[in-house]
Amino acid sequence: MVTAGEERYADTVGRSALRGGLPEPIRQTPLLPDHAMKRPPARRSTATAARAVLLIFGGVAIAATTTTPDPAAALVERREELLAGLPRLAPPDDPDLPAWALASPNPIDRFVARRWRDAGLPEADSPPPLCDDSAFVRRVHLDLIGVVPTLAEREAFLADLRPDRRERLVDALLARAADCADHWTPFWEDALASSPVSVNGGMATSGNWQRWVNDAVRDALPYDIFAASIIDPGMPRAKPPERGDANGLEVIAHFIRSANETETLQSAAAVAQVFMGTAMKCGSCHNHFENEEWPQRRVVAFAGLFAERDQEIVRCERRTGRIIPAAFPFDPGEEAAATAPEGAAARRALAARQLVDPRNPRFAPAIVNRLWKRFLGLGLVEPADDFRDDRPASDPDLLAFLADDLMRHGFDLRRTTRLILTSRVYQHVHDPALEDGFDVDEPDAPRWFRSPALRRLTAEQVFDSLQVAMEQELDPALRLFRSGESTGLTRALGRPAARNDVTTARSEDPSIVAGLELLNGAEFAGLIEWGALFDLALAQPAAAEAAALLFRALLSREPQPEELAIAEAWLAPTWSSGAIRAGRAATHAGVEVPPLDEAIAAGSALLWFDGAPREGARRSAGWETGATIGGEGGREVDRDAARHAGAARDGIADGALAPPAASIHRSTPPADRGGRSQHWFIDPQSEVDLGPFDLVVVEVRVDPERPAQQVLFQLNDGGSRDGGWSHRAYLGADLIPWGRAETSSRRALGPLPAPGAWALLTVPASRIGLGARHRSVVGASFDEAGGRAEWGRVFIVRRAAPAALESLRDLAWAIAASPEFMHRR
Amino acid sequence: MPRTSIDRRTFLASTLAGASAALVGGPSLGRSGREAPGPAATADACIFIWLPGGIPQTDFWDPKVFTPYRRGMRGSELLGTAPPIPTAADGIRLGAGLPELASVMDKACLVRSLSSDRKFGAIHLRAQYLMLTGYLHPAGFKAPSIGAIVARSLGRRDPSVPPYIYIGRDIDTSDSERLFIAEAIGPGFLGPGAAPFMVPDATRGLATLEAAAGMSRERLDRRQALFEALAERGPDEIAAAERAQAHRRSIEEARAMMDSSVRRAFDYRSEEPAELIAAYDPAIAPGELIDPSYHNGDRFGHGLLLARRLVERGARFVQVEYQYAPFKGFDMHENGGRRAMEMARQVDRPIAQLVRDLDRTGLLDRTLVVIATEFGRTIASQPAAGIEPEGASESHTGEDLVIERESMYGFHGHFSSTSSMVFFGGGFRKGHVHGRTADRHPMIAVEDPVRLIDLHATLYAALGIAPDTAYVTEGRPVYVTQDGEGEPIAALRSITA
Repeated sequence: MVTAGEERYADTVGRSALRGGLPEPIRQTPLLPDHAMKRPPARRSTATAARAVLLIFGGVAIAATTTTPDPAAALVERREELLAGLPRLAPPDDPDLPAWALASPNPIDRFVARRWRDAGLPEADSPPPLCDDSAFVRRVHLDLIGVVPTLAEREAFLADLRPDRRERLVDALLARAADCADHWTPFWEDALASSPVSVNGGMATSGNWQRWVNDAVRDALPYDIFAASIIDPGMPRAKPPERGDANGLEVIAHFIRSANETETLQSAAAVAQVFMGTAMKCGSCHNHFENEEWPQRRVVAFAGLFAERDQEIVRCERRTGRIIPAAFPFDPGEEAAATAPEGAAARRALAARQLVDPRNPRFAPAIVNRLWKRFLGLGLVEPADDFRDDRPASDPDLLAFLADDLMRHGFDLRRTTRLILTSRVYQHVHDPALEDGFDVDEPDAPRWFRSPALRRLTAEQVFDSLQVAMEQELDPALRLFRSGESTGLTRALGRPAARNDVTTARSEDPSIVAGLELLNGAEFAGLIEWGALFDLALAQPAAAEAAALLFRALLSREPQPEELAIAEAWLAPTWSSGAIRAGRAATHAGVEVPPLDEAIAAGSALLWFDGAPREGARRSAGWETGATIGGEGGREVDRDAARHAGAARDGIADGALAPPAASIHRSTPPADRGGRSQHWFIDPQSEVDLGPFDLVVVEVRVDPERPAQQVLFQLNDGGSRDGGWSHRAYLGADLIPWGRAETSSRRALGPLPAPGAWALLTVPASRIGLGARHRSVVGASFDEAGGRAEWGRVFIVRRAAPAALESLRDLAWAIAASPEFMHRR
Repeated sequence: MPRTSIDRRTFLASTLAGASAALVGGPSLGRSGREAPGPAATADACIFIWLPGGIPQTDFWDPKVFTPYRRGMRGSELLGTAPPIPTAADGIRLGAGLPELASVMDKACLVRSLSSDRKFGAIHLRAQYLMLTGYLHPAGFKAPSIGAIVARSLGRRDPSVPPYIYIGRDIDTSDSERLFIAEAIGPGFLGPGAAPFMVPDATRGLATLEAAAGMSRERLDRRQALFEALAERGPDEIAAAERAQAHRRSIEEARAMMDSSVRRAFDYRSEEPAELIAAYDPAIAPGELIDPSYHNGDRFGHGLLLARRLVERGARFVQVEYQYAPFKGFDMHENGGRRAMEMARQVDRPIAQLVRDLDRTGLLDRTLVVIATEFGRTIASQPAAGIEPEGASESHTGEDLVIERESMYGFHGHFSSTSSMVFFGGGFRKGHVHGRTADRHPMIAVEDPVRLIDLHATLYAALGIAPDTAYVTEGRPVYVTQDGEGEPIAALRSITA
């Protein structure tokens, strides 16, 4: 029988095949059968549909991919037809433009230069300097994938001396589609009011959009198809609405809802805000107070497209009896006048079609303006949610050009992103004196974009960047947006506790609450308590070099001489080579395992698991205890005589003696599991805390008759991510695909020991993400692939932290809490 | 009388400049720049006692005739679960579970006719959102809570005390209902500057006011000196940026708060007499409850004591919650008669003691104390949520309800048609009752019905905030009372501007 876990694995493989060459997404993979959740079958058809759409964009004829009418294909066809009839916009080719702009291959620079020239700004003749490569590499990493670069990424970029290295970096990061999607996802979750549950306290929510958005952005679903898929349930990739039970009433969780007048108006207003940057809510129950563009009847006409039928004007909860024919509020040509069809589905299809119509004056401009704001700090139109007829963009021609360019490149947001990020204006050095601002007192004041606007990192950028800086690797499963937890720190940094309502902007105001969380919060301290960065730093013979590493990792730059002097003086008193060696040895491969029995006697090690789960522990089926493989093992050994010692090599100490027979355990192999087997236990009674310098030592023996090609050891932290199982280390081949390779969720520790001999698998806690943010361990899993192995006891060896660690942590705090780290410039 | 939209437009023209807080990227400005002064404040501070779950108003504030349990009695015969008791105010009677509050009712202004004709199913979360923000969910924007509006509009009363402090609610949780509530008590679009300063449990102090991980103050300060030294010598363009400076200030302020009067407010155990602390304890022990898990320990009562000490030190708006959980606490769907008594005896003594303390020190004159819940309750065998949209509970007479066993005896139905709210001090009338409800089911308001929006307006007006103060989000004004139409109720206040 195939277990749920196997099905899940099969499902992943199946999806991978269906996806046909798209990069396989990195997903949380709760991997033990009890935690496995079967994905709804709908996902496969979604993937197929996505592929069809992508093929269309690959240039394959629409008719070739499908014989039934595909609304997405129809939208694309229609878009191309309409665009063919619209004038193509071009950048200025005025020969009087400043020479630097004429020389720039990027059209954005010509627009910007023309405006500067026309306004007589000195920058027209001498443009602001570009930021240096260090600033650029941080900026572009934060903007595209939402995290600071690792030391290796930064160094590789700085070592690249090719003139087009910045373009190459932009392209390389854009190619990291999953990471880019992870960075975008929280924005869309806010904008769609995504909620983890479909019913909350008896109320329908907008549904859970996280996965849908993440997939759609990763797959670069064309933006018009993306928007239409959110509105029109008939689109091939539309997310099926979630149904829930609210006190006995069935409710449907979806972004567009129209159960009553309020919901209908809100659906219309949300679509206007999110996809057209247009604030019409105020016009929903009376004429808009301060924007004459939105008389109530225009809003109600739009709302009619999201309902079953035309809507009545209700003035501040008083009905008027006036029914307004449904109509899209912007004139996309001949169709606007047509009578809306009957029925909600047909109306929503019409709303989607008219929304994404290339002639809609707000759809493409709203998204290119959001991109501009995301990358330059302020929009060409501000506020980005308040496009209005009487307030032109800071550079209307540029906005129109970017919108036209986006549409003519298949609504591929990567195109516009690349255009902006490779412009000169994006690369300007941050200069507070030249920075633009937005003041509601002077909403029409121009923005010149001579300097990017300094802005606070989002809560997600802070968390994820600290993870990258500390671990020197990006583990997608650890990204904040995937966490359902709401904490004092995440709230203080502006992440909503719940997404009760649509929102497209977060406040960046500093607050005393945030100050306290940074100063004293256990959570912030936990983020910088330990990581591979400290490991590297402790290995530096010179305190100055350790300090410099922290600057490079957190701020992506070299310290200035004065800063370095301060930081070095801070570290120097505790910086002794002995302590450093201890630190390094504790966390790297090539660990020396002390004689375990002596260590246990001395209290510096403990026998955590003796091979048999205790009464009351949860355990998988298929444990065999006391068993052994082949004829060689299984003998009773004198426990006191067992000495675990020997020369270390990459995670394994050879020469270990066999554990007592009662401590030997292995999986009962199922009839057909593709050569993989697993047994595990979870026992809260056996909870133990690990420090970053501790070692976990596991006895393991590869079956000489049928040798495993991989042995994998997992620890459970009792948490919710991955069901707690995101701490894995293995020897041998990388066959079991759980977690992410080269991270603490799947750490390779070297080759397998010789078959037939007992060996010690030695896992430094910090190498598998334990000892700092996740301290406690409540269970373990023993896995093999490609053959068989048997296992013995699990020991924990305690190792003291070096004295230098405290001063290193304090320095890391001072840099991580600094205004420079907390901002993007 | 509601103002016309023309008035609002004129008003906006003069105030939009000041009302821009929510424009991300825009400047952070002071309170709404009205040219005309706001109403004269009669209160400088507010303690908002929040008892979510749905208080059975007829067991607490608006008792009717005591009708003891009788097997087979009809719902229509169930009018009260305990005898009403007299209070210090002539003509005001309360439920029998509130003897201590009865002794301070001569200082109370009791509104018994808070009425709603808004049909939203009497769902807890929606009703809580409405009560705490003035907007029905989903509002279409992130509505700020009352505390956030007060914080944003009035700012700090004392420079070292956060303007909006929230006591008694957990922070760290992934429970979706609790997260929803966390947003409803939050700053909404006003942003973190107006966010509540969360004190989950007064009895446990506040971790972030203590150095992390047992760090000594000496190390903490050395570390902060390092932070400052590095920030000083960092890149000039960072040091010069206003945002960066504001960030540094927030760390400095955080450090200052560790030594501030706020920090010392938590030291009530060493600074207050033991018998006074005991007066903030619940008058019932867990073992006396049907289900001991409905007991909140000292968390609520000591939260009130902490609130008082914070107001003494200059807090502006303190909300103290008896933490809500579905079917717990005040959310009683069975054994309502007995549980109402159990809940009353948990909150009665601490609230009364708070009123007495504030009165004794004279602070009550300028401190408004409010007791609120999200809706009332009526007779029902089942939760009424989901039934009320059709108007069932407001016309429900209980004729067809047969109370077959004792666990059915009590007020179990959600009833958003009518509930009560209580005010002490802050310029509200004393020993006063406003409105009257029917003596038989449905017990809807029959005299002087009051709209929630007007109670909000009255609260804001008492604090000196005009009910049509607006803040802008997404390019449009959002009023502190919906559409700026809340009208303060003069009849509730002894002094009006």
